Amino acid sequence: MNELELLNWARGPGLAYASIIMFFGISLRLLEILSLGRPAEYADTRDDGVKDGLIMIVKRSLPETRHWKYITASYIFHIGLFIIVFFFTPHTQFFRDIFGVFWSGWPNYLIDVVTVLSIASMLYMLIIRITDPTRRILSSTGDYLVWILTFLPLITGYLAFHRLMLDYTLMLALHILSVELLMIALPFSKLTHSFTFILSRWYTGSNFGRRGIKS
Amino acid sequence: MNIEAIPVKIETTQHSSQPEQLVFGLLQEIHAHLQRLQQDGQTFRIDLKSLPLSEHNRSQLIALLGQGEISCEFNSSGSSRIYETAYSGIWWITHYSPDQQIMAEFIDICLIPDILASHPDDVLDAEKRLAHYLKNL
Amino acid sequence: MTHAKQTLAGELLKQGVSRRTFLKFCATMASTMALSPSVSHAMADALAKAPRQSVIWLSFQECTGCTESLTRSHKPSIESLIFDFVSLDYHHTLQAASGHAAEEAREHAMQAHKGKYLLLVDGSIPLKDNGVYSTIAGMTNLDMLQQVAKDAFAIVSIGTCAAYGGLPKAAPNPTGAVAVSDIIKDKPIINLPGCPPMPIVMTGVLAHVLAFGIPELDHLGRPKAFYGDSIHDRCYRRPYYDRGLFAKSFDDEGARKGWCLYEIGCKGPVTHNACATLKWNNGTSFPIQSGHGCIGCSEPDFWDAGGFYKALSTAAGNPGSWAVNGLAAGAVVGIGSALINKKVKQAAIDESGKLTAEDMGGQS
Repeated sequence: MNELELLNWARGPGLAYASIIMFFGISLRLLEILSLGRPAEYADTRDDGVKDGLIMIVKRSLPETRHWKYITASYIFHIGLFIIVFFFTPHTQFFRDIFGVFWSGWPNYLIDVVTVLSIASMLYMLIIRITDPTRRILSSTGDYLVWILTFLPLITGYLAFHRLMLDYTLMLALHILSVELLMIALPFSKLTHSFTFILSRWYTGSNFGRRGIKS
Repeated sequence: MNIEAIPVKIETTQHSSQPEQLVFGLLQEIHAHLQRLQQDGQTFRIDLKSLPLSEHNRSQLIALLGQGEISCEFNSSGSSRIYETAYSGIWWITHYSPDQQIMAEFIDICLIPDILASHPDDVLDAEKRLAHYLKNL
Repeated sequence: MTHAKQTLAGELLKQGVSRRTFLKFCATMASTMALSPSVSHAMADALAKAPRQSVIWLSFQECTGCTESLTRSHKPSIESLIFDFVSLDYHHTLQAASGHAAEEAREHAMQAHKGKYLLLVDGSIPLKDNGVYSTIAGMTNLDMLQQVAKDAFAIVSIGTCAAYGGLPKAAPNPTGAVAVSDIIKDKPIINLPGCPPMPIVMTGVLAHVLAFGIPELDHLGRPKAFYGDSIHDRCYRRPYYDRGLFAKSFDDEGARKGWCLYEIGCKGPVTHNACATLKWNNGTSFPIQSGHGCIGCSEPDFWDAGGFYKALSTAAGNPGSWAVNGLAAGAVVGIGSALINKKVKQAAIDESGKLTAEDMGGQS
């Protein structure tokens, strides 16, 4: 198979399988979580916990002063990734094709800067994870695997755009394939936090609210 | 003796601007080849189409090299213009297509571009034709 | 038909092309093919001595576009003169003979120049149902190719159909079409893809083969001199791509300003050809210059690359249905899993009884 056939497969059947598996996984995990529900309440709650749930979502999304270096790197990475995925022009075309909704991309040089920052912050976080003894003990294979799966699309995308290392067609195919790997792993690893973080923050907050603890 | 009889050779035109990087680098290279020509007779050809020269670079190069004593034009499936620049040994060759597009452009560093010399095969053919003409007189 | 001891130089001289003019042409051609300028002399000498090369052109499942491209190039150039000079011993569209006479001419040429003739092929070869979907004089394309290729010294696959399967091979490939290189494995094959290929590529490669033999090829068998760069690498609209200025649809403001055509499906980044530098119709223009994105016609399977008007970053297919199917399947399994979880939870609750004061050793 030559590199263009690989690219066409990645854009066609590859994306199909990855999408099916990812949405299957998301749907499965959400239903599993939601169906568990809450334990029964045997006492009166202070209030229904709605306001506190919402407060908690916001509060836990804000930075805090402990571990500020790691948290800053994490912010740069997450925001950077969001910008790259949704505002790099070829990606806007992808979403326009799927959703039919269109928004303008940002200039390429800006996305380039953001990509470099995101890659740098990911590397920084990995180094901290390896060198800090506490974090190293806490880290499992899954953590490192997820790091690799998230790093691959960033680095292959950057190399492809700048026509570095490999032939462009092959690099683009690898980029799309690495995204598909990430998609498949998403619902079955700690990356579920991408769609459950709102649920868990809400849950914690609303629990605090019901018991009368300050959120 | 009137003024037209005094032989004048234009060395180079005056420039207010410095040559741009690319042109400067090219001139250095041309100089090196000219040295080699002068020392051991080695010729060299530079294909200008293979270089990323802008229109401005090209005009600057033409202006800097200037015009020498000899200029020729030959017409065969589009014209070709060959002239010696103000620097002896540096020749500028331009080949045009029938619709006046530049097909190829070279700078030859040599005593004389070989395209100007008569080719032995053409001479052979010419000899036969002349002999034929003389025979039929 | 005997071939007199003609050389190319001799033939050209008869047409009034002096050796000096020949030298001019060779210099130009060397420049086009990005060969070192010093090579043009060697090329001129080699070509001048070239005898009339016997060429057999086999046309299989093709549209004749490749021949049209070749014969419509008007610029008198050394390449077209060389093409006039070769002995084209068999070509469906250009030959005068037909029927048995034509096939006999082909067989005679194969015999007379055994091991020395050049085989040019355009069109793909159908394999399904024993190759019955394309036959010439009762012989399937497969048989004819194998027969004629046996004593050729090299094969040139002209056009994307012969080089990679092309249009007939596009999904669902009803005739089982394959490329020449899928069938012939023991001869040097030069692929000149394009739908059609550029005329100067065809004649330039022919000239190179006559003068120096087979040019340097890339991993897909294409001459690096013409297929080394992608369209994107040499596109004059690159500054707009780099600055993020794209036309959003045909004839909109961006399109009129000549902005990059990525968003309307240009496949320039993944297509290797010389269109952006050498251009079509004697250097007039090429698709992007005329406002239409590159369709990638010199790459394998370009017909199945997801659509000419869908950007390279989009999905090649219908992603909406996949997502919906995935969600539905997940929902089904999720509900099933939820029900199982509930059962497990209920069983645990049932198993654990209610705690009474007596259990705690208190007074009832």
